[in-house]
Amino acid sequence: MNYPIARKIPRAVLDAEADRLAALAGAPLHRKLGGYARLAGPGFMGAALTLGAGTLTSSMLSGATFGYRTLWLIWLSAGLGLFMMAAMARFTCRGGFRVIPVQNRRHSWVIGSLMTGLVGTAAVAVIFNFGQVALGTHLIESLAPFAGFAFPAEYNWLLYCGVTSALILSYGRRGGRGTRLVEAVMKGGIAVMILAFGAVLLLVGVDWGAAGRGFFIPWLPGGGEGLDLFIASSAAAVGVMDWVFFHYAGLGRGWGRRHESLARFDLIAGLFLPFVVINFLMIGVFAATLFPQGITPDSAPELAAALMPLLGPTWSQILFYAGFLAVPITTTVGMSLAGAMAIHEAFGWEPDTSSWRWKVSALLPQVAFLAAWNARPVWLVIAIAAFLSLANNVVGWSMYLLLNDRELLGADRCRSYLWNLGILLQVTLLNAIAVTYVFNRLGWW
Amino acid sequence: MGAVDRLLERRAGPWSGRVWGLVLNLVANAVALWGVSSVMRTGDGWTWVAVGCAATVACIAVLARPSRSPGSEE
Repeated sequence: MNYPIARKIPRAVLDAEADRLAALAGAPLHRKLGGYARLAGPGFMGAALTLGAGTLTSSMLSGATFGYRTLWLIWLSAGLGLFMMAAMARFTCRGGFRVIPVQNRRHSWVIGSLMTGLVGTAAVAVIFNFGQVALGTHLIESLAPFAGFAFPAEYNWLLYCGVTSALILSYGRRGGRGTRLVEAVMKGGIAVMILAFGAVLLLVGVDWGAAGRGFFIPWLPGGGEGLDLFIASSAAAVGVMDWVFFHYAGLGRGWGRRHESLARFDLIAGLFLPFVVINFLMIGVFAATLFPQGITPDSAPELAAALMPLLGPTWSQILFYAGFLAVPITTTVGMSLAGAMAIHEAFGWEPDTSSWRWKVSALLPQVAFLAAWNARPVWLVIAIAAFLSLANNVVGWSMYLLLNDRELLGADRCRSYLWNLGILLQVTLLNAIAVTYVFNRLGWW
Repeated sequence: MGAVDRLLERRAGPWSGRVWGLVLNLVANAVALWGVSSVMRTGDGWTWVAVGCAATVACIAVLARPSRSPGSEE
């Protein structure tokens, strides 16, 4: 166990978990799944991180613009992402190494510390948190009048940042109990989203025939718009930050060789299924309401506001806002932890969750409180988006090469053609994002 | 170990065959997308699309081969 956060977990707790896993190995399927669900965590945290303001806004827009017809892109994008996530699980459980220092050693610090750690994870955490805080404070502001008072974003950011900061700083504390608390909140957040959006969808009604066709029959709008939508949706659902976070969150739980089955269960039940279900519900709500009326607002607040008159009773509006509030909160927490882990790895610092260095790194994304006043570092967003478009694929190459590295993983390297094929398909889509970005700048796209 | 496997593992210049394969795949992707953009702009360019797609499929098919141990008959 070479990750300091895991060293804070008492040996007895880790041994008890290993014993439970061993007992579950021979248990009947239903008991095994139940046991794994209780032990899982990093996958749920990954889903909570991925299901942020950007992903959900994109689903709302898809539903409002194309109806149910792009539902198939959800499972395709999340499914493609699983191959790379399984590689991260392999590095965690069998490799037992910390991936960024290994990238530094084998592929240079430009790819490890810079592209994977600082830009692909830490900078993304800071920049993307502006969107989470903007959405979160807007939702609190929208919810407050239901309770009979006003609570504008200019003030409620204190509540938003206070709650998320408390959760962020709990991680890795109190002998692993802090980590379990954060995982429980992330699981709870996902449950709230599913219950809230599910209830709203039942209220507005589902055209099951159209939803079934949209889920299983591929369709894209014509021309460049369709290709752009396909490339962006299928490659970007699970990215560098998700890879890094799942890997280090697993190391932080003390996962080792015996945990690989649990890690794979966590990827499917914790990451894939919530991602698919929540996006399905969100697209469904907007496909059933705004799409038939031809209303297509631009931003999440506008989309939510346009939806409200169509929801009818007050309770359903509150339910939608409450479920939606779980989206930015869980993403802020996940991204901040991912950023802190990445900063420490990039600079070769040992992560100590009680140190000031960890606290400052973890709370760095909270500079996004400025979003409560609509402030957004546009130049930085553009620069990071450009760098990400051009760098994500190279980080993907690096992960593929590590998984096939005989010297590094020995007999635990990838032995499956299908696994490599899945990773290469995702890498090719990431290449396509980089190429279309360059073509776009040159005016060729 | 077959010829393709040896090619993937052999170093050529700064990189192994696997890395060169990834670079070639990127070039193939760019060719295909260049063709698509030409088709969208002028209606021509299907040859680029075909060549790029064929090269992409070939690169992926080869690169998906897992790394074999030297002397292995796997």
